Amino acid sequence: MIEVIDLVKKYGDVIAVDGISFSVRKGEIFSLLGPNGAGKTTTIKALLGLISIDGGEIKIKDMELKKHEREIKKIMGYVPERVAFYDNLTALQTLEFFAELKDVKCDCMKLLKEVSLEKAANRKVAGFSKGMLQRLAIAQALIGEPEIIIMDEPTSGLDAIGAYEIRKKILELKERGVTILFSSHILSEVQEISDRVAVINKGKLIAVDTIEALGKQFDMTPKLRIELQRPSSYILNRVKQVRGVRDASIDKNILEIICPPSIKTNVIKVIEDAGGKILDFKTVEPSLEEIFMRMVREDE
Amino acid sequence: MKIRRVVAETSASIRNWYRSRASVFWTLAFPIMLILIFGAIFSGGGENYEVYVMDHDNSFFSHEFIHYLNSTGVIDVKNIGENESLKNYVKNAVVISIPQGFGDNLSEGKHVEIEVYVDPSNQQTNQVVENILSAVINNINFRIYNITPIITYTEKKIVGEKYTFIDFFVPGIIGMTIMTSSVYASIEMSVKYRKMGLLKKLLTTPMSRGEWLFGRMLYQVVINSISFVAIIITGMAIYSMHANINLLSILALIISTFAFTGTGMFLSRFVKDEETADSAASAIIFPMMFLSGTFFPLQLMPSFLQIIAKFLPLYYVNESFRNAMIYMDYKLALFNMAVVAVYAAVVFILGVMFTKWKEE
Repeated sequence: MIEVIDLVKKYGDVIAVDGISFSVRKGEIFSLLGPNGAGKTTTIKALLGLISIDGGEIKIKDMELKKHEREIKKIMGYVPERVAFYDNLTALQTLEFFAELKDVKCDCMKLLKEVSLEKAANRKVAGFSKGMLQRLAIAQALIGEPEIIIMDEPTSGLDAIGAYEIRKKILELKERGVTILFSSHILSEVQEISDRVAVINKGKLIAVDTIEALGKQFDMTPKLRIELQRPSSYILNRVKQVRGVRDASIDKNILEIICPPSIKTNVIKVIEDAGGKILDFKTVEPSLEEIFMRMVREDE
Repeated sequence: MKIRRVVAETSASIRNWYRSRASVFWTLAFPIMLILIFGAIFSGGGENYEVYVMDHDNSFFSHEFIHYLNSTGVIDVKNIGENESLKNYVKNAVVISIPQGFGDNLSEGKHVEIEVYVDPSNQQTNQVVENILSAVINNINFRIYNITPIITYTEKKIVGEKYTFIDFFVPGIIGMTIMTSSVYASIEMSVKYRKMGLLKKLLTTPMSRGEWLFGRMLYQVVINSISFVAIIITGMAIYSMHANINLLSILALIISTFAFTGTGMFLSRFVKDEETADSAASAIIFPMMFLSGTFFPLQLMPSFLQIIAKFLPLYYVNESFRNAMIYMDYKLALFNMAVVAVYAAVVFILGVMFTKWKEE
């Protein structure tokens, strides 16, 4: 659906994006991850045609962005981090205006209902809260039933409920078959909704895959979290001596062990042999945050 | 260029405008204020010139002389006592001192000389009073020697008799309003929308730069038409102004709006924030306002400034309105409009080329 090939963007002498390539499949939620200044916003701007690029190619539905900008804009929606509309237009007038620009018929009331803004349809946008503006931006992005929606930090500055509603909406859109390219610095959010992620650092692409596969790719071992009745340093030392255990620590009555899942049984046996009484047992997969931190650290 | 998108932009901008009470108020208040101020200045109902007379003679002839001065209808004569200090009156006014023996010398046919004290900082008043004084003295000389002037003149107007002094300034006020409103609005809006991210949002739609610019220009035509009507109605109601609104004056309104909106759009490319936008707009507006014959005829300016004026679009805008609305010289009006139209086309193209649509 989206293909980015060897994308290069320079700002003077600074190379903001340095030969990035990735592709987004139809109907998936694809996230761009990276620390501040990594190049993810520049990549999004390039995808939206907001900046001219210095190298590479962007293709949307097999159409080259440079040559088919208008057609592509008709099938794309955009939800920015900082939403701006004409202040004195109402929510309904705003959607009608954008529908005219896209040259499509629009049941704008229906769109407002979709984002729970039907009661504010005739209110001036100037009085909207950040959450309402963000929902209006989603409604606006949905005009003309776009096949692709690009979202740049759409939950930034929202409270927990507001952010939850936006995530719920994104998952609903995925169900409808919309392809979503999403950027956020909230890693738990990305982990919750993304099918695949691309990690960018210093303008370069470090990795593209599912979170699970990235964990494996970076040899991110799951953790064993074992709740003991009476943890002791003796048990901890015995566990640390088990072959394959990379690290182990005790926090209150939780024993946390980093080891491959294959030696799980051995570890449990050693704990019981050392007199430990196990109350609970859990395998915790590595979080996106851990994977991300590891990747960025290794890259640097 | 798709007209639907242009109309959508124009209509959204108009809606955005009329839902803001402050915008509506100032759109009406600014031109009304201008016509009220300039109307008061140029309406011709000015005050008479005050002239103080110190009559040292106090004779029949000196009284007759003062009577003549008073009867001109332009001078208000006020007598001051012989012992008073002239310095107290000469500031901002002209003081005439009639010497002792004025009447006796006149009746004997001898030369008499009155003294006129002026404040050099008040050149315009001095000039008018001196001209009137000279005319009155000539008239008295003619009467004493019983001479009938052979050459006289009658003033004839080249346009209809109904036109008054203020009518000739209205085209300039309209031109100035269009320029001010268009340049300020387009620079400020472009900078504001760019800063708040609205331009970025619009760029993600299929609308082009040209469509957006054209939409903004049409919106400004609507706003300037409202200002135009406000000026005409206020001027007619308060100063009994005459205005000949014809197709050419409406065409001049549209073309000049395009020209100045384009100017603002082009300039906004070089302005980063709203604070600088004001200064940039003022830097364009004020010199043009004073150098383009808006408030006074170009002939009053030094010749090199007259040459500069011919390079300024406001000069041609003013001339377009003046020829269309007052002199009814449609050929000249069309010529001036053509100059403005060429300028408008150039700034539109430059605006399209230079508007910071894409980010750098």
